[in-house]
Amino acid sequence: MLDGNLHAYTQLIRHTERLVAQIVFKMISNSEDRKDIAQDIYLKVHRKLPSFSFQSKLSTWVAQVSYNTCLDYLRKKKLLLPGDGPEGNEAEDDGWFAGKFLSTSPAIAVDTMIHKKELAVILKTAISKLPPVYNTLISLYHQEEMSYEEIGQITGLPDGTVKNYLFRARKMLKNELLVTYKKDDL
Amino acid sequence: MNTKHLTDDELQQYALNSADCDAAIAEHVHFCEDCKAAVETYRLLFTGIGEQDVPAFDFDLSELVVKQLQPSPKPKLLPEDFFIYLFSFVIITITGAMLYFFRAYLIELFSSAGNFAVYLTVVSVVVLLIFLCIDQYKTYQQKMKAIDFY
Repeated sequence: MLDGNLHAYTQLIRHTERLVAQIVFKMISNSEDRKDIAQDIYLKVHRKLPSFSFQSKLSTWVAQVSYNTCLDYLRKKKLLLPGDGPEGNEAEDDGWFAGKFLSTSPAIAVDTMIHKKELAVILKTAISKLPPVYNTLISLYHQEEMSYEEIGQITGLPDGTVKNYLFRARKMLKNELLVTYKKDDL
Repeated sequence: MNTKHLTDDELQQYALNSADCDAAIAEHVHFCEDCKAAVETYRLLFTGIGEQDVPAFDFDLSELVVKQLQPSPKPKLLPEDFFIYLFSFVIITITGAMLYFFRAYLIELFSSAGNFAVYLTVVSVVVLLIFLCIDQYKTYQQKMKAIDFY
């Protein structure tokens, strides 16, 4: 690859495309921008490849470039990031996303009330409402099954912050699930 | 049994990995219907997230990117590379010259030295080379692991 072998670089793109798509789709909502950003990511990767120091997996490094490129885009567009949104207060988290009236301990499990198909639709909507960084962390942890450490390497966030953001995101999703269930129940 | 309901953090931890949680948490979940239901909700949530469609680009990304890449020209010799080559050449030349001009003394030195000294030198060099090879192999393995996509 370093010798300019374009076939090898095509293989790299094919092998890392899924992970890059996860990050780009979760962080960027505009489909035209996604196309430009995805290309920009791989052009950057190609340019920076000689500086790859083998300290992490190559796919993790590509994901790191993707995350930073998307973050730059969001900052440029002045879109909401976790650091800019409501943070630090647990009660605020509930209120920000789902309303403060919810009980956190439902007496009846939600799974008995909603079908799998409905759940997928409700969750898709709920996930799309999450802030971009939370959305990305949820996908990397629960869909790509990455460890906190790997996610930390990609995002540049300390392990504790990754855990905290994931905790908040899951709580928001759970509350949204309950809100939707209660709304349907009325 | 702890009668206080679990916090959301504890509920998530238990739903993610019940085996790693405190016995007190497990006991509470066992007896508390509310917390059990909350744990089930989280588990349902995690399964639901895992089963969400994985996004994919609807265009051939590799084709688009490769079109924009020029086959990179042969890398130029950087100044630091030039100095490394020059330094290596000087060292090899000096060592070779010393071996050539002082060969008579060296032969005498090794023939006058005892067998033990010669063996010791050879063994030291071999051990050193083995360590260097192991280190190189480890670095190679680490690099291969880093670029392994599977």
